[in-house]
Amino acid sequence: MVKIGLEVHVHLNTLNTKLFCSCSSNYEDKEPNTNVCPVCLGLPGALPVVNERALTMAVMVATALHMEISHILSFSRKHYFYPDMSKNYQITQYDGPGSTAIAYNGWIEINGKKIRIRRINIEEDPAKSIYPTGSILTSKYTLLDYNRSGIGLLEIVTEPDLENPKEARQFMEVLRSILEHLDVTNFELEGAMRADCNVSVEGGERVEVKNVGSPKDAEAAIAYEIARQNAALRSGVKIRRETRHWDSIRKVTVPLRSKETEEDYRYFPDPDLPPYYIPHETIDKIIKSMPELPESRIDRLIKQYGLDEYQAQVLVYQKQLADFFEEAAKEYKQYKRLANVIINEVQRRLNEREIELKNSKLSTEHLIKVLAMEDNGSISVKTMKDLIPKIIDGIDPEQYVIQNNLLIITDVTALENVINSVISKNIEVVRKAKQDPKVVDFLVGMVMKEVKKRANPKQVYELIQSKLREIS
Amino acid sequence: MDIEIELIRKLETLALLKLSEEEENNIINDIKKILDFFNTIQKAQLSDVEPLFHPIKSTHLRPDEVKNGLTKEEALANASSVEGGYIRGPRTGE
Repeated sequence: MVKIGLEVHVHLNTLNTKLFCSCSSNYEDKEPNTNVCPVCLGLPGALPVVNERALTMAVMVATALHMEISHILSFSRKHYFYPDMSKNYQITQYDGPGSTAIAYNGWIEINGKKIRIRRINIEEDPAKSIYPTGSILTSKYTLLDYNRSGIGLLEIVTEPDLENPKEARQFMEVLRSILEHLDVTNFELEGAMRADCNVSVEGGERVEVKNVGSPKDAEAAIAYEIARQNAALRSGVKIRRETRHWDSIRKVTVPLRSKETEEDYRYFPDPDLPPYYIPHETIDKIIKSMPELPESRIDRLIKQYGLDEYQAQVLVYQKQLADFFEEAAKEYKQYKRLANVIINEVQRRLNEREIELKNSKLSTEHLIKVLAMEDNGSISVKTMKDLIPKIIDGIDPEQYVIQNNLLIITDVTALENVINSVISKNIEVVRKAKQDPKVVDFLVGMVMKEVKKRANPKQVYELIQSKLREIS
Repeated sequence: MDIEIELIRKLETLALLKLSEEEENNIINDIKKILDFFNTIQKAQLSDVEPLFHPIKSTHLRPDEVKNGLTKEEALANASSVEGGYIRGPRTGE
């Protein structure tokens, strides 16, 4: 029995400013240490003040995760010594005397199973560490960029309810979709979501794997860790409680440090941040103004477009796909077919190229053109599928089809010429076909091959049949 | 409460400090004195008083509006070691 719990950190990177100061929360592409002030540098005497929209976002996420929301916003100091945290404490939330997390006791449903969420903390991100050798293990010193220091984060902690790597991946995907629908996190930005994965196998201690950057990596890191722990136990090695680091390039976990116990962080309420009593009306107002959530969007896609549950889930759990579907559905009304092509063909081709829909040149206009050409019989199913990678590259499908001679041959004379040629080369087969109708299909196949599938098989079958009747 | 040398050593580890034997002995005495003060405070009858964690009742929040911070030169002015615009800190790998 494997037990997996996640601590997911998500950047509140759609905020304009950091959590406790008015520095911009957009730290990308800036020179190091140019997006800082006394508060996020941790200079003595600087006073933090909470960003009100960070509270709004935390309340929205807590509501979406079916949680009980605290009516007091309070912050604690978590003490540790590390170069990325110049104050020697991180401002976070804590469940203890005089302090509380923003929300408790929620859940997300995965395949009909409830994964419980213990709590959400609002906290600040530390500075970014750069290792001169590229590796934390071999660098003699650390270089620090405080541009990221103080960015608002939510730490979302689950109960150990996940039982396998795939479930952990699905959990993160559903969570990502919720955060995208709430416009709390822009996942195109680097480090938008990171997870610490707690993994324990039967007969071993809990091992924490840090630095997991995506749902896909979570699946890989947890699978690796389960295999490593089981192999160790089989050879009689004890699994000790420790923290490991996920190396996403080598796809392995490496030991980091022995785990400090919780009391060593010496939490206490931050005297710089008096508690804030959140008025009931504020919470009600935030909840009322919330955008549509994945759960209700799935229901709506089923009702409004007649999709089945699987289709609706796949689309909504990758918000970009759902947005693209709904945009195309304004013009193209065969909704189930549209959903199928997006899920099976478009998604597969995007995955092959390892690009996101948003970063491709695919337009709803081009996809609709391709589907319409197949609908009116101008192109074959195969051509339709072959066109998907072309339109992902932004190529106009109508022009491409004409330039590359991909239109279906409907001209009877042209098809008869091909059929005559096939028949004359296969006299023996033709004789058999006259006795056994199944052999006719073989001839159809040969003709289809000859025209590179650019014909309607039903039409070819009928033409061959009438030809066979002519031959005595 | 007895303050043992083991506790002092643990605090040294947590605080990344290395004390001499003499300093350790001084600290033991200091901490004993500090804890004695608290023992006196502990005697106060407070069973019918709500705990107070902050003298200020409720704080205010800040609008989410960007303001200019420090220049790079100001930001790095107090760093003891700088390299290519970064602050240089100790190694973190074991």
